[in-house]
Amino acid sequence: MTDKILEGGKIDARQTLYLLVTMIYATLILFIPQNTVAHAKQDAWLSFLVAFTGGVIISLVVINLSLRFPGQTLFEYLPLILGRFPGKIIGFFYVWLFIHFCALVDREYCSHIVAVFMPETPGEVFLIHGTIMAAYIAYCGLEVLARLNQLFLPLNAGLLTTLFVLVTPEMKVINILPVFDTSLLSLAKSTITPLSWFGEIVALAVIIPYLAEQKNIYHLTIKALFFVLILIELATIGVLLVFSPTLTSSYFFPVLSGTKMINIANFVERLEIIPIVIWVTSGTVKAALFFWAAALGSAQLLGLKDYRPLLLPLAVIVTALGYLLHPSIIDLLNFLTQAFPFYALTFEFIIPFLLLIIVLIKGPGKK
Amino acid sequence: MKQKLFLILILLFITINISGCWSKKELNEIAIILGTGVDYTKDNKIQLTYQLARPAAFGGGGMGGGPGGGAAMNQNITWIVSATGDTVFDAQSRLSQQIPRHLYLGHNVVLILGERLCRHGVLDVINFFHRQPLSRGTVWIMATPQEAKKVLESHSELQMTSAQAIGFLARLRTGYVLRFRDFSQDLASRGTNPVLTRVELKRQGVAQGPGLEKIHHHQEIIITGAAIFKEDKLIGWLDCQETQGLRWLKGDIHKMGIIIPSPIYPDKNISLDVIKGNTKIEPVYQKGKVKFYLGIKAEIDVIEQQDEEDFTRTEMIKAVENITATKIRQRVKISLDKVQGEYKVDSFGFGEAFHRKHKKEWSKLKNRWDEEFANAQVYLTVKVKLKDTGMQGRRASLKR
Amino acid sequence: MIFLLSLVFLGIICLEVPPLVKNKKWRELIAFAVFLWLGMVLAVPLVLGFDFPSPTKAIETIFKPLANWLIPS
Repeated sequence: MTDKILEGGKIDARQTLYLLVTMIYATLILFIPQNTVAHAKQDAWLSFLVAFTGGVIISLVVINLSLRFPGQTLFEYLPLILGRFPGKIIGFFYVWLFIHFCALVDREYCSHIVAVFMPETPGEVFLIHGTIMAAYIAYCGLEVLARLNQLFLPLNAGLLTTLFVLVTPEMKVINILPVFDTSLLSLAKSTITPLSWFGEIVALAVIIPYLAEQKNIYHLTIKALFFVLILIELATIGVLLVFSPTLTSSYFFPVLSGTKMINIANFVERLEIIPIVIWVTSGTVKAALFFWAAALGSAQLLGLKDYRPLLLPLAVIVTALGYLLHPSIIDLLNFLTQAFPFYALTFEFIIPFLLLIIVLIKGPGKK
Repeated sequence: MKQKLFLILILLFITINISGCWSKKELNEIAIILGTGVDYTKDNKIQLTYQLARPAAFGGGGMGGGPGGGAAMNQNITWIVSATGDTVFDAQSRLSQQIPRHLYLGHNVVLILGERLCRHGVLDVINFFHRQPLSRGTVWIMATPQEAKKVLESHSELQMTSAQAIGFLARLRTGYVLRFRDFSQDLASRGTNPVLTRVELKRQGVAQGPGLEKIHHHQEIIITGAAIFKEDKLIGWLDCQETQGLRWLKGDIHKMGIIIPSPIYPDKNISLDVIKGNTKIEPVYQKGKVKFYLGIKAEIDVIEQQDEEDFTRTEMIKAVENITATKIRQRVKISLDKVQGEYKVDSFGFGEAFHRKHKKEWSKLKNRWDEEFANAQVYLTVKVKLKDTGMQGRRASLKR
Repeated sequence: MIFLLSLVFLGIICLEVPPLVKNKKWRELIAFAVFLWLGMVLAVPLVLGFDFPSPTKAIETIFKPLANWLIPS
């Protein structure tokens, strides 16, 4: 049996940077300002700063772990650390996690469009479309995914900045004052959800082996997280300044509602399509990335030579899950803000951290 | 071969889906709502009134066409429909049984609330306009002492429809105007009670043209002050003068005229225009008492004079500035007495200012803020600067 | 609905199985079959209208107590 590599693509530093940014900010832009603002009120920007710090710590753990096993993904070195059988079990948990993330992104995408734009269309239509797109991109491989994202991200960042600039006439600085008015408890409450999204950086453990150069990976990741922070602060502060905290937290999609306020000289208005462009493009890339990670992971765990045959069955699973997971958007939001952070952080931080400790004690891997 | 088949399948999939016409609503299938009015009827039901555009009438006659200017007169340019129900949506669903198109709220310009509804409380009806994905925060929201339905049953001489006319009038900011977003914000804030624009339908001018004077009694929607709310209930009205004072207090200063008596000729006046102004609120909390120090700054232009004051002299400028300051102080005092003294509500956002300054004390006071505010002392300092005197420094005169 | 779903499954099988058989990738074929079976288990009851328990519930039962304990709402 020849030792053929599963994924032949290599991505360069810039592509990695962009990919990591998209992976995290896509969901944050859509939902999180709402939930975070509900707890932290006008200090929501502060909780993102805290979440960013947490994200950096998580990424340090994940990278440190990954660099000890050069050229191997999380799924390949898990059996090396924990032994063949337990390693594979944990590995399948990670496959489930990525499938779940992918289904969640698809579900958010479909809920959002149905709730806001096409209330009469059944959500399944968007769910199926989203999954097919993600599956096709994953079929093309990581390199295509990264290049696609290279096309979208500058566009999206530009559009988001444009929205921020256009909505400035509606802003009132006093909406964000007084600063530091939240208790530590509500700050913690508001931080935990964004932190779990920042923690999605754990997918780095699957991406790292496919980087063309792995020298600057620490630098690169922190830079990516910082860009996410900038984008998300832009959205949050913009929304907070336009609506007061109380009004912001009452909207499902504050960024979209903020865009609706844009009215320059009765001429530049009704720009709601821009948040949709941002969300659909970045959401597709995000879903595709997790889809790819799930397919690659299961192929590696099962010792297959190709992950592509698994994509279509996985697509069926993701579509069904996307439909099954949550009966309504309220349920989705409740899940995202209550149980999800702890569930996600278990995989994003606790398990990698324990793995790192085991590696340091028992010492498989290099260094 | 197989690849070709696959490609054809993909192409089919794309062509079917990319047209995206599942929830389609073509332009000729929607009824565009321009103005919305909500009333509370005598038998405690909600009456919803829509001013719908009639696009057919928009085309032909168009702007400037027809006799007497304005929109074409031989056709109704809008269609006013109304229905009653227990909730706003109940009323709307009754309406949609009568209207052969989809009701489309996305282009709504103005939301007018009738007095009975305002006195009853607006919380009952506001939520509908929040939840609707098509409804916008940029809609102008207003209250009227008349029936909202009557106010919408009007048309405008200069604009296509009365709803658009009031929208344009609001955009000029000659009175206190606010949007739906601002109103919801004030409604949800403990430190501010909402204030709404007061509009009325009044007879306004006479259309000119042969034979038109007789047939054309014209009524326009105009802004006539402000409505003071306590939480979501209307408790009183302000007239235009008092509203100017309110705008000084809220720091919403655009386009405001001030007429002052001349410093040297007692029975003559000087007209001034405020070009810039701002209000700084300085809350102080001492020994359980709330005090506010208000610093008002204004820059004014001379618009006209009735006699021959010489604005090239600095003493004259000083004198005018001082009189203006007193005048502004008077105006503010009138509104403050009315709102703080009579209605006993904080309509000015002083509570928010207090919150920003004294975070800890606010958490104790916020639940009884209106009482606290009613007893608060407000100290005023007004600083006025004369900036410009128009095209003349001193007028041409016989006396000199 | 169920007819459409069967068509989709049939299409997926037609598309993926022949090349796998031709190249004698038996391991891949087994994995493919297992995943497809999983997908079927999830999708068929959905289409037939059965109330399938949501996996979210399982996650919530594990992590909700933790969430409530760490951050009392």
